[in-house]
Amino acid sequence: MKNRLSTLGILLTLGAFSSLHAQTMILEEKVDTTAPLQTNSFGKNSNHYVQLYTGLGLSFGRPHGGLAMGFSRNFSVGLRYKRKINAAQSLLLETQYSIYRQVFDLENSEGIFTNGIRRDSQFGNYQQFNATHQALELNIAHRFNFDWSRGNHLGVYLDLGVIGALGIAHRINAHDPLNDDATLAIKWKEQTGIKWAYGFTTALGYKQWSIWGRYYPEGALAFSDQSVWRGAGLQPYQVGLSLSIN
Amino acid sequence: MVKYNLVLALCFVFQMAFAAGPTKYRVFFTDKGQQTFSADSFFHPNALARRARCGVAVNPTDYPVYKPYIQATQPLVDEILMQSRWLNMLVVYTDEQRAALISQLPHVDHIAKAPQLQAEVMAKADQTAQEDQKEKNERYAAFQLARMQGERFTNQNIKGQKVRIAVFDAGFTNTNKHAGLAHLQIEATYDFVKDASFVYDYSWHGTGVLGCIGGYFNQEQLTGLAPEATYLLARTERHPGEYLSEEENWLEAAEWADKLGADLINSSLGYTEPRYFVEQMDGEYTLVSRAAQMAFRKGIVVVTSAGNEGSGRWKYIGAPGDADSVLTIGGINPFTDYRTNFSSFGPSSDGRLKPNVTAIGIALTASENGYGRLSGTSFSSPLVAGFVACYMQAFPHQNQHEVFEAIQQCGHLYPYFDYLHGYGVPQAWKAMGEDNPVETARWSLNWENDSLFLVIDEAYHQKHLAQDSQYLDKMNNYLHVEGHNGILAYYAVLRLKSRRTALLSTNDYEQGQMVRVHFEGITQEARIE
Repeated sequence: MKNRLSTLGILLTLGAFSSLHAQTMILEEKVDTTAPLQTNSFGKNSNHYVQLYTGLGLSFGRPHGGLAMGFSRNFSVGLRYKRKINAAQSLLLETQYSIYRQVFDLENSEGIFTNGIRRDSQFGNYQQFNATHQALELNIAHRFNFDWSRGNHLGVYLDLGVIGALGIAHRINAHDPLNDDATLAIKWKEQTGIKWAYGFTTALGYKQWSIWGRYYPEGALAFSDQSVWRGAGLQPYQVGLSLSIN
Repeated sequence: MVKYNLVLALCFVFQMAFAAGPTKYRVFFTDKGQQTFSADSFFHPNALARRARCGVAVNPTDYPVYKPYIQATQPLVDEILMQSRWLNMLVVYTDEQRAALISQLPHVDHIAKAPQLQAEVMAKADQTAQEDQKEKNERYAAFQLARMQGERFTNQNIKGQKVRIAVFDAGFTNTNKHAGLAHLQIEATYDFVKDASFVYDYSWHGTGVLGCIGGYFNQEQLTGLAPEATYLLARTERHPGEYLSEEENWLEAAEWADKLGADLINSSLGYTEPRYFVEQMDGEYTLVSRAAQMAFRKGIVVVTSAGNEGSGRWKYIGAPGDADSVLTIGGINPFTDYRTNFSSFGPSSDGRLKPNVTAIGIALTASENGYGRLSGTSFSSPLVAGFVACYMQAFPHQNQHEVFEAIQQCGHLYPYFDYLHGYGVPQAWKAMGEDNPVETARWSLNWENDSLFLVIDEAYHQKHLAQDSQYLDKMNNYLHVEGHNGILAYYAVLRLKSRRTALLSTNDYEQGQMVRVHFEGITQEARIE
């Protein structure tokens, strides 16, 4: 009985195996009948092109400025209009919303800003300090397309531009870990009104990805022109990664 | 700040290297003016005969561009590069300011900047083997024609006589001296790149192409089916490196071929990226496709290669292979009888069947070293061009539409088709209305549960098993599923291993879709319930 069952098992296995391999597929192609044919290349280098993009980055401050490196970050989302000049060059107009969250460690830093904060009766007890800026930014850049087949592809490119920022909301959160984590929040905008800033931008990109950098002069979107508060404005160096959605 | 200025300056210098020189424009006129036109004196007698046969009346698109319009435009341009009577157009070099003035001339319909980009060569020829073995080469040459049953033509002395074939290529090096091509009747030549008549230089590509249309191997074995056709040779390509002017050269050459009475154009050329996107391969967008369409409307059958992008990023056919009325030719491997790995995929971007038919994509033909086996759809196209020439000789009263449809119906897979093989390799026995010399298989399609089975007739199976136990492994089985919009959702080539084989499961497809199967000369279909 055991032998018969084994034989039956073997036969069933062989039978299944042979039907599974009753044909040899040489080539096959599934066609997506709903989508238009497209190349895999990303991003047309069209005469006019609008892209949605988003980016994440880190802020870097001046020495002794109190900025906690690696903790200060920013996020932006925007719309880019690209106007092609020729195969190698384009003009970019980018409007974006950005939020910069800058973290300051007062305890471990010495500088005009940090000393000034400590001497301020409002903030004297607070050891950690966040300054969050929300801004609408307008970037105008010149793009140089270096891709070998750049005729119709985005490829590899370098952007150089100038950026203007309109501060729409600013907030300081001061944090005292020694005092039951008490926090003090100040909304700058209510006190200072509209703030403008300008700076410079650059980006090195490959298709939809790019590494970008921004430079803002000291005091950009700062609470006031007093040197003690200029350090809480937009930090001078922002570096990040950007992804174009379409 | 200083550093930024330096970077900006460097970028400025860099981009100057890429700055365009003179700008090319296409000037389209509103009409052909008041001119007298004598078709009898303008066209070669063969051109008039072709028009009469195809029912193509002379119309204003045949008139030359109106000379006073050219004279009025001339002061505003640096140079006139070409004139197109079909598109009523001049291609000129000028600047933006003068272009604006040209656009305001009363006889100008519109002016468009012509793109000035570099493109890549699409049709490539790689010499796969240097063969000194005469017998082997004879077999290869014989097979590339036997695959089309070409002996059905040659046995009846049908070799393209009285058919005029225009060949567009990058050059025809030593065609006038090559032993395999010395017999060709070459009536006219023109180099549209240099505006000269000499074409027997620049590229061996055209030499190989000619060999596949009507050449001989060692003066004994044909390498193409139309050795006795009349040839018109046009150089339209600058190789290596390409410029968009080549599409304008193609248009100009097509008008020249029309005027000289060409019945057939072979163009083993194609245009893809980075000039264009795949979604622009709709038969309407590119200049060369519109030119090919116009040639067809004038009664000329256009045969072109599908391209060698099948294993690359582009993947699909190029222009003018996307044009509706052009016979686009894919390549098959002579050893496996299905698509070569480089042959480009169809369909066109608007879903039309492409390629239309196929031929051997690794051909024995004239080359730089005498003879060689060259691979590329560049050489499958002229094999079919030779076939078409023989067909046109056999049926001289058919117009271009009838010839186009007939060639498709001659495909060995017809009515089955897919986007790699089209309707298959044209067969001369079909063209001549003869019986299939090869026994067709007997089989049926059966639905069992949710699976579609192909069942070979028992007697047929046993008979062939007795001759060759591995016979099934040498036969290709073609299968496609047609979507509701008429575009194929799936297609495959497979080899059966048993008499009864499950081909597909309905679970993977939608109700109502049509399945077609082609096996050994028979096509059957079944609808998915």
